[in-house]
Amino acid sequence: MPAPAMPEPAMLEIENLRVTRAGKPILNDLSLGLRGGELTALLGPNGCGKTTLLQALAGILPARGTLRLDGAALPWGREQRRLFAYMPQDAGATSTLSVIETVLLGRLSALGLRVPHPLVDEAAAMLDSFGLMPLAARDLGALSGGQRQMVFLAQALFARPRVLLLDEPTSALDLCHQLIVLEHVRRLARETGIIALAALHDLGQAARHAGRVICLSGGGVLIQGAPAEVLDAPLLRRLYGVHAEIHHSDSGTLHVTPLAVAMTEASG
Amino acid sequence: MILAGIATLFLFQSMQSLLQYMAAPEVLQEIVFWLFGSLLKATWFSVAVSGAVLALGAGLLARDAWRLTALRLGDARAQSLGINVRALRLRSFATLSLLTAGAVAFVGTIGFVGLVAPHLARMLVGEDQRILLPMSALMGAVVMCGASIASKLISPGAVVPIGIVTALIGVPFLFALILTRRARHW
Repeated sequence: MPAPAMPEPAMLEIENLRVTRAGKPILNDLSLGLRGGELTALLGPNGCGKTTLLQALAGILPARGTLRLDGAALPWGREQRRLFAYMPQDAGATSTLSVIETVLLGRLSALGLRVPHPLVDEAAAMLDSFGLMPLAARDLGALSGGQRQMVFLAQALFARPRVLLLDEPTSALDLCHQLIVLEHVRRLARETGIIALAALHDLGQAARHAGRVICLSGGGVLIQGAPAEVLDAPLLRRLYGVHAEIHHSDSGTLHVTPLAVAMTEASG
Repeated sequence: MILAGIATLFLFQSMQSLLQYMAAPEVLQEIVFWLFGSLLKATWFSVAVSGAVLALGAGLLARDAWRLTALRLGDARAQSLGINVRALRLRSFATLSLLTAGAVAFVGTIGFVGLVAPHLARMLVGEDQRILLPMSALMGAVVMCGASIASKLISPGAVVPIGIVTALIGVPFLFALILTRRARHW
C-alpha cells in the first residue's frame, strides 16, 4: 500500500529578532531558519534566552524583527499568534477543568455561549490520537505530570498551528513520559510538516530525538546543525562551561557525559 | 496585590471617618445606617437601577467567560492561548467594581457574601465560567435571602442588621474553607 503523501514541511525564517527586557537586550539581531517535519532542539545555558525566544515567537513578549513563513512575509499580530502555539513549562495544575474542556480551550475564538458539536467531536478525535480518551472527563488536577503534558500538547495542537514552540516539555516528567512526549512530537512533525522547536536541557535527549540543534549564546545563535556534527567537547565547554565526554555507541546513538565544571578564563 | 487592597481599604475607611466627623447629626445617622447594611430600604426604583447595573455588568463579563475559564490554568498558559492577561484583569476589575457599586450604593456594606457565594457555586457547578458566573450571582441571592430570613428570626420582633448576620456566618465559613482547602487554591 503506498504511503500517504507527506505534507510540505513548513519553513520559517526569522530575521534580526530583537527582544529587550527592562531595557536590557536579551536577543540581539538573531537570525534563524527553521524547517518543519522534524524536531529542532534549542540548547543553551540558563538565561541565554531560550524561553525569551520561544515567548517572542509566540507573541507573548514584544519583539522586533521580520518573520517569513513558507516564503511569505508574516506580520506580527493576531494572525501570526494563531499560527504559533506555545507550551510553557509544566507548573502543575490544581484546576478542576476536565481534560476535554482543556483541549477545547486551544481554539478559544471558536468558543461562545454554546460550543459547536463538531468542535467537541474534533477535540475528542484529538484526544483519541493521543490515547487520552479514557481521561476525557477527568479533572486536570487529578492527572499525573506526564498525562497533563500530553493534554496540554493536545491543546496546543488543537489550535492547528504551523509552528509548535515547547519550553522544556520534559523537565518535570519521568523517563517513560519523556520518551512518550518527544516521540509523539516527532511523529506529529513528520506527519503534518509543522515546525517543532523545543528548548531542552538534556543534551542526550536532544541528540537522540532532534534532527537539528540550535545553540544560543550571548543573545544570538552560536551554531546550528545536525546533533552529530554540532555537539562536540569544545562546543560544550564554550556553551555550558563544562568538560564533557561525547561518544557514539555501536547502535549509533550519541552519548553526552558531563564530567566537570570548566574553569572560565573570561566571563561569558 | 493584597497589600494594595488593604492600603486602599484603609484609605477609604479614613475618608468615611472624615465624612462622619464633618456630617450634621441627621446625615450622620444615615451614614451609620448605611454602614450597617440593610435591605429594609428597598424600593422598586432601587431594584430597577441595581437590576440594570447587573444586566450591564453581566453582559460585559459574559463576553470574557471563556477567557476567565482559561485563566484557571495560570497566567502563562492563558497567555499561550493568546489571551492578554493584563487587559483581561483590568477589564474584569472595572466591571466588578461597577457591579459591586451598583449593589452597595443602595443596601450599604454587607460583607462576606462575595467570599462565600462563589465558593459554594464552584462546589456545585465546577469552573466553566459560562455557568459559574450566573450561578455565583444566584448563590449570592440565596445567601442574602437566607441571611435576611435569619436576621428577622434571631430576635423576634426586632431585625438584626443583615451585615452582622452575614459576618457571623461568613467568618466561620471562611476559616473552614481555609483549613480544609489548605494548599489547593490559596
